[in-house]
Amino acid sequence: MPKILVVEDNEENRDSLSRRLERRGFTVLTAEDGRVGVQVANAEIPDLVLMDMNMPEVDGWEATRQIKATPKLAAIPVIALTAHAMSGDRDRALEAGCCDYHTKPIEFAKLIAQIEAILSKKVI
Amino acid sequence: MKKPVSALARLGVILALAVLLANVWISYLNTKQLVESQGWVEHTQIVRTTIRNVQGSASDAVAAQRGYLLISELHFLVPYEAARADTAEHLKQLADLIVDNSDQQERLASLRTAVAQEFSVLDQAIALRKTPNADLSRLSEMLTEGKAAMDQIRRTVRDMDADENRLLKDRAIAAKNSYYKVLTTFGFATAAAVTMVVLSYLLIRRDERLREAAAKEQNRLANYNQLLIESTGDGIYGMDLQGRCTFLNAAGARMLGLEKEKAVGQSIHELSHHSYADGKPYPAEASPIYKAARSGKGVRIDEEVFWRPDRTSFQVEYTANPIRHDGHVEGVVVAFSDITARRAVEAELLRSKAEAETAKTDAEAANVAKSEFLANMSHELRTPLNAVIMYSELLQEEAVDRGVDSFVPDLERIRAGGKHLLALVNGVLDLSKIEAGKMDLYLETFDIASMVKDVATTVEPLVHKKSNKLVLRFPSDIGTMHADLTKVRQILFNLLANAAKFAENGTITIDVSRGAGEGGRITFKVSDTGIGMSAEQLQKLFQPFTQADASTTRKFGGTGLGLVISKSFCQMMGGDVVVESQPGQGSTFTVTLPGNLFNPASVDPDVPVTTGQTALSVTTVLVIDDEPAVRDLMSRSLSSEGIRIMTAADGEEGLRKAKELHPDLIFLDVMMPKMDGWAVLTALKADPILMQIPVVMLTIVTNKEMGYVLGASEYLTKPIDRDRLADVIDKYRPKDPGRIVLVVDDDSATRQVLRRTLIRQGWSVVEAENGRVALERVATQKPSLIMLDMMMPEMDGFAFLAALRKDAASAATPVVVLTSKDLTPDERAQLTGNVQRIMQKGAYSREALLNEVKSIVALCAKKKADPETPSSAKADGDVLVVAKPVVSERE
Repeated sequence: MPKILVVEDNEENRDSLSRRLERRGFTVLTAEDGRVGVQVANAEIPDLVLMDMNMPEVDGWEATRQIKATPKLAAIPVIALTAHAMSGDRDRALEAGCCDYHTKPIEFAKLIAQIEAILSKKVI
Repeated sequence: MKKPVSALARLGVILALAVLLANVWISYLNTKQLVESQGWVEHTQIVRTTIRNVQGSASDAVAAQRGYLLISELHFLVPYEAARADTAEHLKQLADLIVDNSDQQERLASLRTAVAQEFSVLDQAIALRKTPNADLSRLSEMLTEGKAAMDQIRRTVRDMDADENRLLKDRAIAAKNSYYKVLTTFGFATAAAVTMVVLSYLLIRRDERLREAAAKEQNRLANYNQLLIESTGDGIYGMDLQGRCTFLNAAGARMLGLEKEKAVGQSIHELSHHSYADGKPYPAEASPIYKAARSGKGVRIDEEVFWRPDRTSFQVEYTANPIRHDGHVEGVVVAFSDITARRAVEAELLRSKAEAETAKTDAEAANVAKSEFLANMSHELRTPLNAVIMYSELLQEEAVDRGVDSFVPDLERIRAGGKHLLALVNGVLDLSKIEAGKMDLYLETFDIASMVKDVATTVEPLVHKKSNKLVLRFPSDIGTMHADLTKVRQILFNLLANAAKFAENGTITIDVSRGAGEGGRITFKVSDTGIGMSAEQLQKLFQPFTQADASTTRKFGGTGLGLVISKSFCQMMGGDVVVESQPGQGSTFTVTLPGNLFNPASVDPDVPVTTGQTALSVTTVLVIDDEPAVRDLMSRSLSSEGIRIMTAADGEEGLRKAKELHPDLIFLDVMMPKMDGWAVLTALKADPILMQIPVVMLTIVTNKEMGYVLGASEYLTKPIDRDRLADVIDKYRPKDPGRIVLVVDDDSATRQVLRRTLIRQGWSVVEAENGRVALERVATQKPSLIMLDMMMPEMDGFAFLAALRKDAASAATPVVVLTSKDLTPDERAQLTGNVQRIMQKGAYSREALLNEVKSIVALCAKKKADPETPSSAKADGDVLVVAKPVVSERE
């Protein structure tokens, strides 16, 4: 099954999200901040990254930029998770290289639909 | 003050002198004449005396002769002889005196004759007497003769005397006349001279008086001017061409701390202008005052300082103007004022302004901080809410899994509570964003019917909760609209949820219709059979946090923000929502929205639409091509699709516009002057912001004569889109089945998939895992088509292409290149070389190309419209190379 990397600083969110993804059969990797997220991505080459944007130290935008700047990781789709609903957040997420975004609180069904859509891209 | 009077006075004096001189001359002449006249009178009297003397001496001679005759004594003859001598003497005198008078000379001649006659007679008598015995009778005769001669003398003398007397009279008159003449002339001339002198004197006096008055006036003016200069508050000093102070007024002296008497004659520059404000020496030549003297042009300076002897300075504004005299600059006059106070005021003003600006910035910062706060608060609230909702959902799932279904309803309540709280947070946030003008629109084209159905499904549980019935009405051809889908959905959900809240056992109807015209306005009418509202309630309906009734909140729940937000959303999209209601009669909310928000014709002109906020929501396509014909073609063919087409004529402009516009799709010409398509592509892909933008490369389609030449026919990018691949392959579909395609790729999985696809398309497939192997395959069996990966071990695609081209037999084989999206500059250069040299057969007609382009754009727009839709590689920042139509021939 596809490997999903969940980068999220809030422990409860990280825990609940990863547990629910695992229940759907995904292999879930977690990271508690952007820097660890980039490290894990480098080590594990996940199929998809769920990236919280507001994190201490290396935030989601920066982590996404780092992933996109790494040739072997650049093709990994990143879905931004943002609790920030102010204008521009969405643009910023897309600018940073995210292919999609999801506003928190997570609507799980919708998120799953997004993940599956991206992973099942009709791509060879 | 020139006075003609003074000239006149001078003339008067000169005239008077002339008259006096003339007078003296005339008087001299007259006096001379008078003297002469007097001379003549005397002369006449001498003549008369002499005449009488002649008569007298003649008479004496007669008397002496008589005596002799009587007595005959000889001594009587002595007086006689004396008388005779006297007579001759007198006659001689007389002759001298009357030498100028011819009349008298004639008379003198006759007198002489008479005298001679007399004396002759007398002598004869005497001689007779002396003769003894003389006949005395003869004597008496002689006496008679003597008497006659004597009478003759007397007569002549009388005549002469009378003449002289007449002359005397004449001369006396003449002398008198001369005297009067002298007197008169002298008198008149003197009077004239005196008059003139007096007049001249008067004139001169007057002249002097006038001069005195003028001098006085001049003096007064000079004093007045001096007073003016001294009284003015501005400092004034004069400077000669040597830089010496020629004048300094009191104010100037005070300001400069100088004594004016001491300053005059000294170098004013050294005294007051020797240094710049910062204390550095100020050379005199650099001073504008000296420049004014040199150039003859006035200057105005307000950024310098003047110094006092105590080394203090003051900020000064001055003008320096040349002093001209007879066209020559003689010096400079400097008028100056101390502007320290003014500068202080200006500085104060600047400071106040800066403070005001700071205050403004602070206020703006505070506003930003408020927005930040709201965003953060929202974040802080959402994060725990997220946990609540997530864990309640997780527990529900696990409860079901473990068969403890009795927990499910309670977990659902927790979840619903969390959701409600979330709705409140969202409502407050939406409202604050609307108020702050930070709510953005994301416009997309969507199907109205499915959107309404979707909302109806979402709201259905609420509707059924109070036994209401939901009725959907819309024409089957209602079609699509272009607006912010999420917000339209939210508006309708709010209205429907509202209706469901306030109606019981009733009917809720949503009626959708489209106005006339292209992209006409869409009307959504939501009506219910609920409790309705009074006019008073209606008034407060669209105000934040005021539900129709305070008790409503308690009874029906809700945030009280839904309608406010809905109305704001409608207005943002150029529409509105209005309500009609009567108590007990239910309510009807009517939403009208433009069918196509970016078709200006359908936007209500009264409602401004802020397009700036929606830049991202339009499907923007950037066409970068140096050929105007291509740009025009693309613009015309695509803009009718409701897509914004921007164009750029070269690579640099293209990059700039890409950065500005963040287009959703870029069409990029490969061959352009200066910066070619590959360079632009590299730049785009190197930019973290722009790298996500899908780029469609347009390569040149040459004229048919170029035919099949070596090289790539198509470029496909990895990951490869199935449909795209099918299109490309379809183009090279062999006319007779069984033609061979050579798949060159080091990745076996890719080869497998390609093989399967190609076989399905009716091709025979030969595989090669790198360029070297591929060349071997080509040598043994010439393929009809080569699918070529560029990045391979041993021999890569570039090397393979180069080798393939060298072989005439295989030069014409079409090659589809599978390009990597990360092109290195070297690779780019190599590919560029290929593209430039390898011209593709005109495989696409213009229509085919446009269809292709439109499909790509549509795909791009669709992806935007619904991010959940799995998208093809094209719209995901990848590079696709297609051929562009021949719009003009070029190499």
